[in-house]
Amino acid sequence: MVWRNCWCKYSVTKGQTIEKRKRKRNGTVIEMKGFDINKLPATEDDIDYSDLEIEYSQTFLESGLDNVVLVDNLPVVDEAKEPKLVALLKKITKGVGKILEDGVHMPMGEEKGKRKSKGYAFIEFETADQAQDAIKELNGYRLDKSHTLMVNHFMDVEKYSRVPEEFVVPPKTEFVAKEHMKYWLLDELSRDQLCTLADQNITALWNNGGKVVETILTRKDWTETYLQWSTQGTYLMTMHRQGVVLWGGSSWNKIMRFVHLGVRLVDTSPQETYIITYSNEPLRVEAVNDVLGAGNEHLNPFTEADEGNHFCVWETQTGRLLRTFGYVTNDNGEPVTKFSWPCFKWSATENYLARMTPGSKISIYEAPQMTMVGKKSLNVPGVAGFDWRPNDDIKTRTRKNQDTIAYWFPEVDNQPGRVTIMTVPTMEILRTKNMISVKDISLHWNPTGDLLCAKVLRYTKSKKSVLTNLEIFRVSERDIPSEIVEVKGGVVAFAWEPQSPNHRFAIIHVDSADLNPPPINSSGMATAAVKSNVSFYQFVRSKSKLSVKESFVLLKTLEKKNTTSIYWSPKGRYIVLATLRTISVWDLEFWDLDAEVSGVSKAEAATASIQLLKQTEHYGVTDLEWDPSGRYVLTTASSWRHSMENGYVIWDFKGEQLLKSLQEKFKQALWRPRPPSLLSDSAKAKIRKNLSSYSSDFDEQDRVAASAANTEQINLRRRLISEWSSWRQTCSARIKAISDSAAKLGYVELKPIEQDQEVIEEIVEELIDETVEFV
Amino acid sequence: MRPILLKGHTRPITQIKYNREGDLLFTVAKDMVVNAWYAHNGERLGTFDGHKGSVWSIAVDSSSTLLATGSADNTAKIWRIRDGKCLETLEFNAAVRKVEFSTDDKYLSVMLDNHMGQKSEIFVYRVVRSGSGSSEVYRMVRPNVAEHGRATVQAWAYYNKYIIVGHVDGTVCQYEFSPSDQQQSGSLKLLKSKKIHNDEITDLQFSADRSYFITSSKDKTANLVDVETLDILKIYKSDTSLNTAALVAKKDYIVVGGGQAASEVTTTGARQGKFEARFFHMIFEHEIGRVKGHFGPINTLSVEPNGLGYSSGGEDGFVRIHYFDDDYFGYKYDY
Repeated sequence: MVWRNCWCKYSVTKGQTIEKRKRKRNGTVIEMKGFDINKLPATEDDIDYSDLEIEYSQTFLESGLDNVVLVDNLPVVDEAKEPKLVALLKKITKGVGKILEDGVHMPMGEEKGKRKSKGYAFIEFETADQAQDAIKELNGYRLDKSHTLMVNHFMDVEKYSRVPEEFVVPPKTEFVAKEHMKYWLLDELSRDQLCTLADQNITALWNNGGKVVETILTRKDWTETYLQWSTQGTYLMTMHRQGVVLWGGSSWNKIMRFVHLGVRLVDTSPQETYIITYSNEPLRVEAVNDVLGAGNEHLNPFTEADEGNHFCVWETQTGRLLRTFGYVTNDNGEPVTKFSWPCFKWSATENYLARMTPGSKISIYEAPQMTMVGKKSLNVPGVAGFDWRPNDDIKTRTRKNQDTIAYWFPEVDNQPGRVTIMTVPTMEILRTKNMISVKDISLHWNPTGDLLCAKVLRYTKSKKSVLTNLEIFRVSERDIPSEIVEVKGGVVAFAWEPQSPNHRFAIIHVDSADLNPPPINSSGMATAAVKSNVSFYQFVRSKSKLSVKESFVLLKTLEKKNTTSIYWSPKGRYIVLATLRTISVWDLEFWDLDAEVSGVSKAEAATASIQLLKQTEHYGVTDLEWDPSGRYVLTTASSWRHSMENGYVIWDFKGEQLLKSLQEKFKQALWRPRPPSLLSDSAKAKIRKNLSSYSSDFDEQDRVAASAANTEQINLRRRLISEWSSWRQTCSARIKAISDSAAKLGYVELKPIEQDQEVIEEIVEELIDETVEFV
Repeated sequence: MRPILLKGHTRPITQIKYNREGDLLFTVAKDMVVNAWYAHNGERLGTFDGHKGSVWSIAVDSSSTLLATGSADNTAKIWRIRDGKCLETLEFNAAVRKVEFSTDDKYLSVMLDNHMGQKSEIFVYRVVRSGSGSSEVYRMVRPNVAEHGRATVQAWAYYNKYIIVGHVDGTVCQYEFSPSDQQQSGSLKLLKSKKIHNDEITDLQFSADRSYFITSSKDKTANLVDVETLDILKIYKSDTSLNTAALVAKKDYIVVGGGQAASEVTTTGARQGKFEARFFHMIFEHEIGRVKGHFGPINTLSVEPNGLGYSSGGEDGFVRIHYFDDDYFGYKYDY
C-alpha cells in the first residue's frame, strides 16, 4: 500500500496534471490519470516520501475507527441520569444503524465533587456506512430547546483539534464599496427598465415614454437558455450549464454565482434573501469538482450527503448553500419527477419554506437553518395544493409571529374535501371548510393577504356537467367569514384586482362543454380558439336596520370572447383581456373599470363605469406583462412558440400602440420588477390629491425631451446630408474627368429628355343600352 | 395610390423595365411571353413572340427602337419595338440570365447561367444599326466570371467603363471594359471584387448618372455601393429576403421588394409573406412606407424614369403600375 501511495504522490510532486484522483478509505489509489510511465525515477532512493509519511501516518492509525461518531452538545448529566441519556441516544439512533454492544461511551468528569458527564458521547456503529448515515440524519437534530446535536466523524476530530488555539488576527482586507444595487430606482425620470433576449443577445433597455427605448447595453451569449429577474428586480439571473449567475448594479457586473450543473429552473424568495435552483440531473460532487477545476475543490459547496439531489437552496448575498433536496417520493417510494414550479414556496416573511408531497404531507422548513418545523412533516392525507398568505406584515397578521398557510385536499371515500387555513409554526387551525362533489380546487390569495378565494370546480348532481363555487374567505376579519359566488360552467382563470378597496376580481368562465383546454401543438400554441366569458365582481356591504348584508355581486359579464388570460394593471382599475398563444386569434382588449360616467343611478354606476377603451390585436402574441408602474403594457411574440413576426410591442394603458420592434429569433422581454413602495398610504393619497401641481413639471420635462430628441434627429440628418453631398461632389468631379476621356474615345453622350409633358385625356363614350319609348 | 393591374402573364414575372421616357413598360415572365404596355393606362401595345423557354431578362435601348431579351431556351433575341420583328437571334449553350445595353446603346452584354459544369460567361456584342433600326451584332469578348460562384446580375457603369457583376455568394466584381481601336473587339479585365452581402445578390440597378448602384440580396439587406471603389455607402435592412431594389428618380428614396420564397411560404396567410414593396430614405436609411398588393413575392421593381411612379412584378404573375399621389411630391423632410 505504501508503494502505491508513493506513486500517487510522485505524480503530484512532479507537477503533472492530475485529472482525477480517487482515494478509498484505506488509502489505496484506484485511479491515477496523468501518470507518466516515461518519467519514472531511476531508483527508489530518488523518491522523497518524507512528506507522505507525515500525511498518511495518521490515516493508517485512524483507519480502524471509521464507524465511530462523536455526538456533541448533549446535556450535562450526573451519574443518576446517565443510563437514561444513553438510552435516549440509543433510541434516536435506532433508525439509522446498529450500535455495537457497549457502543455508547460517554466520558464522565469531576465537577464540584460530583461526577458529571462532559456533554459529549462516542457511538460505535457496526459499519462505517451506518456511521455516515448517522451523521447525515442526526447532525443538527434538536434534542430539546437548548440542545441541538452536533454529530461528527470521530476521525474528523483530529482534524478539528489541529485548529490552532491561538487566535491569529486575519489581515485586514481593503474595503471595496459595492455598487448601488437599486440604482435604477434613482432614475430622475422614474423610467422603468426591461430586458430582451433575441437570438443570443440580451439587451437591457430604458423605456423612454413607451415610444422610444434606449439601449443600456447588449451582451452576446449572456445566457444559455433564458433570463429571469429576481422577485424585486435587484438581480438579473442568467442560466448556464454550470449554474445560475446573478448580475446587477449600474455596471451590470457579476454579483454571485451558484454552481448547479444543468440548472433548469430558478426562483427567488419574496425579499430575494434566498434562491432555489432546480436541475433535472442528479447532483454529483465529482462532476462539480471537474467543473471547478483542479485545486478548487474547496469551493465545492456540496458534500457526499448531497449526492443525487435535485433542488438547492442558497443564500443570495453570501452565495452559501443552505441545503439540497431530492424529489419527493410517492407512496410506492418512487420519486415524483413532475411538479409545478415553484414547488418550494416561501412564506411572505421568508421565515418558512414549504413543499408538498402530493397526497400525503406538507414539509415546512425554517430558514435559514433549513430544519423541519416541528421536526417532522405535517401529515395531510390527500393534500393536493397549498399556498402561503402573501404580504403577511405585522399589522394585518392574524396571529403574532405567525405565518399563515392555506391548503386543501379532495374528498376521499366518504370523507369530504376540505380547505384549511392554518398558522405556522404553531399549526393552529384558523378555519376549515368542508366541500363535496369536488373536481378541483385552486387557491387564490388577494395580493394584500386579506382575502382567500378557493375556486372550487364541482360536479352537478347528475355528475354530467360542472359548476364552479368561488368560496371567498375574509381572512383579516374576525372568525374568517366566507361567502360563496356560484358560477355556471367552469372558471378557467381568476384574478384579484391589486390594491382594490372593494375587493374586485375578474374571472374567465366557459360552458361545461368547453372546459377541456383546446388542442395544443408541439410548441404550446392552442390550435383553436375557445369561446369564453369574462365577468367582474365586487364586494358589497349593505346595511339595513335589521341586518348587514355582505356579499360579492356580479358587476358585468362580457360574453362570447376568446379571452384566455386576464391581466390587471399592478395599480388596479385597468385590465387587459388577452388571447395568448393561439394560432388564429390575437385579440387584446383594454378595459377601464372606473370610467367616469354621468346620468346613471348610484347603484348602476359600478356596472356602467366598466368601459372598453380599445380593442386591438398583436399578431402572434404569446406573452403579456404590465410594467411595474401600470403605465405601459408589453406584449411579445416569442420564437419559442412560433416564427411569425417575432418581437415586442409596447402599449399604453389605454391600448394605444407606442412602439413595435420586430427582431430575428426574438425570445423574451421582461420588465424589471420594482420593490414595494416605501411610501405610506397617506403619503400616496397626498400625492394623488396634488397630482395637478406635479403634472405641469412632467409636461415641461416631456416637452424638453421631445424637442431635444427632435434636434438630435435633425442634427443627425444634417450630418448625413452634408456627408452625402460632399461625396456627390467628389463623384461629379470624377465623372467630369471620365467623360472627357470617354468623349475622346468616341463616346456619345445621350441628350437629356425634354421635360414637356402633355396630358391627353380621352373620353370614350360607350352606348350600353338604348330604349325607345313612345309617349 | 390606385395601381393599374396588368394581367398579361400566366407565370411569375422575371423582369420589368421602363423605356427612357417612361411611357412604355416592358415585361417578361416565365411563360415565354414578352409584353409591351402603355405605362399611362396599362393598355397593351403588343407582344414579342418567339422564345421557347422562360424569359429571364429584358433590356430596352435609350431611343426605344431595339429590345433585347434573354431566355432559358439558350437564346438572346433582339427585336424591333416598332413592329415586334425579331432582328437577331443569338444562340448559346446555356440559359441567358441577363441582357443589358450599354449607356450609349453601342454594346449589348449577355450573361449566361452556369450550365453542366460550364461556368457563367459574359458576352459583349457590338450593336451596329442600319438606318431602319435593324441591327447586326458582333461578338467581342467572352470572359469567364464564375470565381465567386454563379453570376446572377450584371450592369454597365458610366461611360461603358465597367461591367459590374454580382454573384451567388454576395460578391460584386468590377470588370474594366476596353474596346479595341476599331471597336471590333475588346477585353474585360477584372479590377476589383468585394463581398458586400452574405447571400446571393438578386438585383443590381444603377443611379441616373451610373456612379453608384443598389444591390438587393437574399441576406435581407439592400446596399448602396460606389461603382469606383465598391465601398458600401448605405445599408437598408428589412426582415425578409429581397429579390429586387431600385433607386427612385428625382427623390432621395429607394424601393425594395421581396418576400418569403414560394418554397418557404407557410400556411399562415399573405401577412406572413412580407410581399410589400418597402420604401426607404436613401440617405437616412430608415423605412418610409410600404405598398402592399401582391400576393406572392415581388420579383422585380422598376421606377418610372421621371420619378412619377413605379411598377412591380410578382411571383403571382401580375404587374402593378403605381403613380405616386400628390402628397408624395409635397412631402418635405426636416433637416
